[in-house]
Amino acid sequence: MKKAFLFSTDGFFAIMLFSLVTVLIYLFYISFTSLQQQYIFADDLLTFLDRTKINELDVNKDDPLSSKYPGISTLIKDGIIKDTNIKIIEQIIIFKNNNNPNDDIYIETILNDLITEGIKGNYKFALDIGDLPTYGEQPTNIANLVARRRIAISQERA
Amino acid sequence: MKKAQFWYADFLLGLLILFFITYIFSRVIIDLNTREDKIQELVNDATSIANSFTSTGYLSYNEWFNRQGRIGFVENGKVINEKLEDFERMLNNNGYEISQFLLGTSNNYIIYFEDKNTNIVENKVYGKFNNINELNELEVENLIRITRFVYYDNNEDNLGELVRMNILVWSSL
Repeated sequence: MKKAFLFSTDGFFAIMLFSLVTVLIYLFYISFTSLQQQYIFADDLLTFLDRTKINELDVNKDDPLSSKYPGISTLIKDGIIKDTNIKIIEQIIIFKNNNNPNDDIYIETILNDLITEGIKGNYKFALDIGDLPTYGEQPTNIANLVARRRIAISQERA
Repeated sequence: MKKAQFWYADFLLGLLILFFITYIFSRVIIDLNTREDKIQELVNDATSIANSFTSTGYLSYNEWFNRQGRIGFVENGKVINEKLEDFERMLNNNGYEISQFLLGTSNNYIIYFEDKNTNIVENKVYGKFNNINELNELEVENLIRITRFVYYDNNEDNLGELVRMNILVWSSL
């Protein structure tokens, strides 16, 4: 192999390495995402569930389809949600404490009605009551996870 | 050409390439850091504005207009309509710059509410401009969006909904 060829190959490798390092640094900067928005999403959502009563929602038990939350309105109309003067999270805990297979469907109805794709955007969301998975897919193979906790008190369903 | 002259030219060429590469490398790093600093400043501002809006605020329209108090219209995750109206009134009376002063920012901002179907609630936009279409005409280098999630009863019938409160912050070119 001639000396000149050897030097050219070395030079070529050097330029390749340099380009690679520069691209990697750049990619690191642009792919670095903050968890702040995820944190806000989780925190605000818990605040909403914990502070809002069912009767404060735009529900209409007489004509569920005309309301903004037809699923919840139907649950009220069918008498499944008996007391609308309780917070959303309280109702979810009541359903969860019941151990009735249908109650998981009711919880799903409530949360699907409230937290639509339009609200959550690209985020996925799961809710656990105590240690029990209550709503949403359990997180697996994920890049980032933010968990927020609240203490909520509720009564057992009469 | 003598052998020594040949090597000397090679050495000079090598040095030049080294300087050139070092220059490009340092420029890339400096540019990235500068850009990152600008973005971080906007993120800090957006966070601060979002925190102010999602607080109960302090005082109301008259004082706000005299550059006193703090703008805020959310309590316990629920929009306080009276305070939001005060804020809107201030903006309608050319109080945008005062709002920037009270929010402690020199950057521009808008906020709007989106319902669960991603419709803008009442088609209202508050801040630098009041028409969302103007956003498409904006020519900015960096724009930061922070979304808060709040309960909003826009028509005050005591029946509200969960909405996204989007806060967009950008710096002038």
